[in-house]
Amino acid sequence: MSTLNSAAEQVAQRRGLMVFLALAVLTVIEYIVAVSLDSVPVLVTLLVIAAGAKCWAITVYFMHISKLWRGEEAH
Amino acid sequence: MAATATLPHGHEVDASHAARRVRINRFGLWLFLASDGALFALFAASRFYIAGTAISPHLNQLLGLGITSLLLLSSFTAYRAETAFTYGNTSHGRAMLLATVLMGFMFFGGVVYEWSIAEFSPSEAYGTAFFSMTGMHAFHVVTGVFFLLLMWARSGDGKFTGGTNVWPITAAVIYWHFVDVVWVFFYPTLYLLK
Repeated sequence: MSTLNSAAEQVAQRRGLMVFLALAVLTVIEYIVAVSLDSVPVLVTLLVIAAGAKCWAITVYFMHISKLWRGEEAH
Repeated sequence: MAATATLPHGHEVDASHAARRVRINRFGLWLFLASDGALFALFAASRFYIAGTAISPHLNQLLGLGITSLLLLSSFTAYRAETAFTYGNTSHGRAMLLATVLMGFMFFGGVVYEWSIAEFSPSEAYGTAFFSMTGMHAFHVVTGVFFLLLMWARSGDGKFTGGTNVWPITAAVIYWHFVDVVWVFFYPTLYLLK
């Protein structure tokens, strides 16, 4: 069984877990909203907001987009 | 004396030169993702043009939610893999890479199963959108799995450890996250509208 090496790695992995949990919650909310709402304009608006939030979280925390302008030291 | 870094293919270079190379590579990767993202955006736009917001009542919603959750989980394991390699934890990184690959295969299997039970044809408006969008995305899943598998196979001797040496792993993982981001928009577009 592989284990985590350092405190810094544990902090980074914990941050990843928090982001994943937030993404999972947003996905469940999307599903519940979709099965319970009948108004298409409201549904589309809420789904766009949820998808935008998930996209932002993945690009910022998982894809490290800020390294494009901050360089390799940012993590 | 300037600090040196060893590239994955064995060449020793100045550390600042290696960092600059990674910066350029990263910029190039994001340029590619932007152009690929534009292609997916056109697919999504065409879905609304030819089929409006309507979805098929025969879609398997639980399967859709299941494969979406699986892809999300695979993005998490991919993140864990990259982070582990960054901190020199090769064994954990390789295990997480393999977990990501397995979930990629399962996602692809779910899409193929969805195709096999679909009660609408590609000649219908919604069917055209559904099969073309999921087909194009599944192709990216397969290429992503291939890249991750390649990194798993090449990481066995510990050469992707820390600093700029992790870039090949990072590139494959960023590509995998991109595949996930596309599905973040495709899932509600194909499954959750009315």
